[in-house]
Amino acid sequence: MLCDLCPRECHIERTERQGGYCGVGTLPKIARIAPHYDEEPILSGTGGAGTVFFSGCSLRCVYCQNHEISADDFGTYITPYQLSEEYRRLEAMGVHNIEFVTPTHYIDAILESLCYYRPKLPLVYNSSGYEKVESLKKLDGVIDIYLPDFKYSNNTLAHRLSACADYAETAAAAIEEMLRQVGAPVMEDKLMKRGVMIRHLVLPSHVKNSIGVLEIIKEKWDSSVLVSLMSQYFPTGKADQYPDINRRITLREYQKVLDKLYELELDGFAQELESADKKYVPKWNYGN
Amino acid sequence: MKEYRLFAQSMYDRAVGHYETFGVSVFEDGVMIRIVRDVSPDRKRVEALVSEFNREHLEPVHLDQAIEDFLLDYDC
Repeated sequence: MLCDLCPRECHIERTERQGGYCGVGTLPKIARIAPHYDEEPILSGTGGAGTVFFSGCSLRCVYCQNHEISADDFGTYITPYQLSEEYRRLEAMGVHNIEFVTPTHYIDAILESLCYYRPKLPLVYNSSGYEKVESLKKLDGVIDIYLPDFKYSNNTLAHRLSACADYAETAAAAIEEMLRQVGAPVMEDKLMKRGVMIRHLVLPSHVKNSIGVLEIIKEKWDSSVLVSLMSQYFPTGKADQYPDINRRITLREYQKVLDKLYELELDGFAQELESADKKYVPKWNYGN
Repeated sequence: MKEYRLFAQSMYDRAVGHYETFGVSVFEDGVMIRIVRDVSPDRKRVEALVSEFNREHLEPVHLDQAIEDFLLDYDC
């Protein structure tokens, strides 16, 4: 197929194993499928989030915290039917949801897999936020929880670090569509069952970008969404070629963003700085 | 006579670990009257900031706000 699933609209012919801008074919390429306990407490609970980490990415940030799977070709191809069998396996392990991580380029394969087996758990769509509204519409009535990043309010920075000069407006339109589909957050027994939670990773040197993101969220969606502020950035991937992001964030930088989160009275979570450790990156082991 | 100076320091956080960073101190007649720690790990940027404070004769009462503005002023 000539792929136009993501906003890159690369129109490259993706075959089962031949990729477009995302670097992967149409068959799901998997880096890890396992319960994950380090998501926000309302997703991980006690049984873990049932994460399905897809390989490849349509955004490909230079500092990608998961660059081994987003850009370094790690992973194992499986069929949509095999993917559906993994949902059963996760469900039997007692996870609280099935979480698709970086699924943008696999929307069609995910929809096919759900024809074979639809888990009786909330389905979570965890993405970079750089999404096409037309593609998201295919998921209307399917996804229960959207977990998009909102990485940049500054498109100059987005262009430099993620090669997309239209990130802010594209992500905002995508989140608008996500919110239209699932509405305000719904909680049961301290677990999220439905809604949108926007994640933002604070980057070193770019406090102003982070504050801009929080201000956009406040202005557009306020209490209709939850916000998860993340401090876990560590320099990896190609970050060593960008002096401003080739370090961890400082305590002062994080506090400045945190102060803004409290000032705006946004609902959600703020990660402790202790999370800023590579140990929070899972072990990529699917198929090994 | 007030003079702004850069100083180096080591910070520690359980997760971030040790990192080298730079702060700004203010001296009046040789006595330190104000100190702001962990302004940035980028020595050149803090040096430029200190030079600007001295050139503009920044009043120490405005130092905190000037540092806050600096944090928001990264030109990408």
